Amino acid sequence: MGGWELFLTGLGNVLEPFNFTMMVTGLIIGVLAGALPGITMMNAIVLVLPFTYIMGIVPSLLLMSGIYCGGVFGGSITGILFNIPGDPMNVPTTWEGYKLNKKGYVSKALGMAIMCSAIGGVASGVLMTLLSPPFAKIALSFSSAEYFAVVFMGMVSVVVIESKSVSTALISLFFGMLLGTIGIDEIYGAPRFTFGSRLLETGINFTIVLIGLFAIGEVLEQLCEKGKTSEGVARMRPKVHVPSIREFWEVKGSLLRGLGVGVGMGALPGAGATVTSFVSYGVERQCSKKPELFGTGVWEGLVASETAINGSTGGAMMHLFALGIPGSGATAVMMGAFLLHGIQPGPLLFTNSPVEVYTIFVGFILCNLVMIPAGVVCSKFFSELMRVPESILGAFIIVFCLLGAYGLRNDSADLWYMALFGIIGYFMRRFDLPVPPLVLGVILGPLAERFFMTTMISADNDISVFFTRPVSGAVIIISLALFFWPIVKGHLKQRRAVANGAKA
Amino acid sequence: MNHQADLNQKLPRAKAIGGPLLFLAFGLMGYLYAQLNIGPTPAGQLGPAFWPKMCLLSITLAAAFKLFEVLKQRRQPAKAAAEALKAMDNRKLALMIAMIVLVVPAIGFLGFPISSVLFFWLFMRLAGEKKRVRMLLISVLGTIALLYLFVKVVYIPLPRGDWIFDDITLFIYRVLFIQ
Repeated sequence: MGGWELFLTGLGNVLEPFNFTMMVTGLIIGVLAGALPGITMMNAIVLVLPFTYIMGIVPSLLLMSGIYCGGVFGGSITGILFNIPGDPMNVPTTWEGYKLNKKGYVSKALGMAIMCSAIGGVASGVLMTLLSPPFAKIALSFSSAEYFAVVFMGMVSVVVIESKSVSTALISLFFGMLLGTIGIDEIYGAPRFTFGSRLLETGINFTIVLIGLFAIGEVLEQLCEKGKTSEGVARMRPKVHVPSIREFWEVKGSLLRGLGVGVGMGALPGAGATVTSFVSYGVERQCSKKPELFGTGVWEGLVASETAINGSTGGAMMHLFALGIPGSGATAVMMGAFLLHGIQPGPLLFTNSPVEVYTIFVGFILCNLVMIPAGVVCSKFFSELMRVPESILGAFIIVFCLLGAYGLRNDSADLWYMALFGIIGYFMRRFDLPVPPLVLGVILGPLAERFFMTTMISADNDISVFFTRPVSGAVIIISLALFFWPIVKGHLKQRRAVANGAKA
Repeated sequence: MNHQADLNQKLPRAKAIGGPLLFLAFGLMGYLYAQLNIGPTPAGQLGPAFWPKMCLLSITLAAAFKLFEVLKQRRQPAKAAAEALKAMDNRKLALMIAMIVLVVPAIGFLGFPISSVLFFWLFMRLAGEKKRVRMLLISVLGTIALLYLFVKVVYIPLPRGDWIFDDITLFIYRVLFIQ
């Protein structure tokens, strides 16, 4: 069978009632799991795994693909509505989306997030279908030096996040990175900053830092503001406004850049949707004509990060199908489903089970299209919560955060961390210390360390390896340029202003 | 009046200098701690202390740079620091923080169901909710819904508490057909 025939056969298979129902069920489960803090998309995929024993491989993988697509989007809903990113990858969306919500654009922000996710997902699905084998072969040649370079680029977006004071943002970033080192070191197995405490030995999970810093701080600030009563707030009922073509045209650049970053970085195994979303947000700010407005609620930031997140999903699937190497945690569980049904993912998959592969490819594309109505329905459901008085909503958010923190590792120590970071988050806001760089440091710091140390061990501590390898060298130089350009530009502007003043 | 105005100028200034100084000291002390306590470093390798030391050194440098920035601006009005912060109800804030901290040991001792009902009730009351029946219903029904979602649906074994509270939690679970 040729490519088109396989594609059409796949389409027919996906549209079979049972398969289609599984896909939609997966999407709804994914969106809900992604949106609820503490219940991650990964939890959901693992939980449905036993149910797939009794299904065929196609409905099983459609169910999982649905959860995967819905899950990466779902966290944006609570991020936009309540400033609680469901997953670390949704943090950049939250920075802009919540501010847009505060400006009164909640309906449009939700609609834009859904549409951008769908566009990113469909595009990555199409590319996955067309380019799987060659793209994955290129990615195989990448080593830890390249991965470090990509993570470094993600961290450079600290300049993007905090334009008010780079030095303050750097303090916050490095502090976050330091927090990421607490616990037993992965490479040498040595305890670091544990002070003999069992609580500290397990390290600090970044999701807990994220939940605490964002959600608890926000609840405290909202509820303790003087002159604000419980009755007078949160009474609106936001709808989901699907943006028009004209509205899309206004952000076409951001959409395309987000897509480019998402698809490109998705193809790197290990880079993941989180790094992709940060890098995409950073690139977007550098390309913006008004970078200083980022963080105050701008559409470009929301569009780029949201498109990039779903744009990266196809890349992660690509590795699974073409090489048999899962590109993310979620695809690792999907690989388990393949193996359960006696199918080995890898290059031979295209020869041995082409119909199944193309059915899943088509299903993945359709999943992202069906995500539009599914996302609208789920967003409406969560939007209803906006009408709940803040006193009730605040209590629920805190209990949910506690459960979310506990549920990650079933460890009471995480409850203490969550409470601690909640309080730290509140005071950071009060004292004008930027929270996002700290979160960025906690999330990306351990990744950067792992890739840096592995590279150093394999290169006999020769740091030039990062510059002599063409891809990592290019990425690091671009990152450094992105970092220093705003500083140089500011100085040049200042000089010009002084020179003009002297002339006058 | 002049004294007050002078104090208003000095306080944000002290805050602006104090913050970077604090991080500067933290970075240096942390570096020293990492140097002395994290190890051992295998021969020819960077060792486990390398990365945290780099982070601490970077904190120190960034804090020194911030301090330099603040001192350079000493003749300019401290505009950012003087920006009015939102007025907060400090008593309410302190009580809410205390509740968030206290609920953690309470969950361990009383178990999730009991501490959740108590937390919901007290937190809503503190946040300004006045309708008691609504508060009671939300506390109880909200807890039941969360128990079903986390224990029954996603199989997360929530803390059941110590001593007699473990039995009470088990009793609640049985009544609700959760276990």
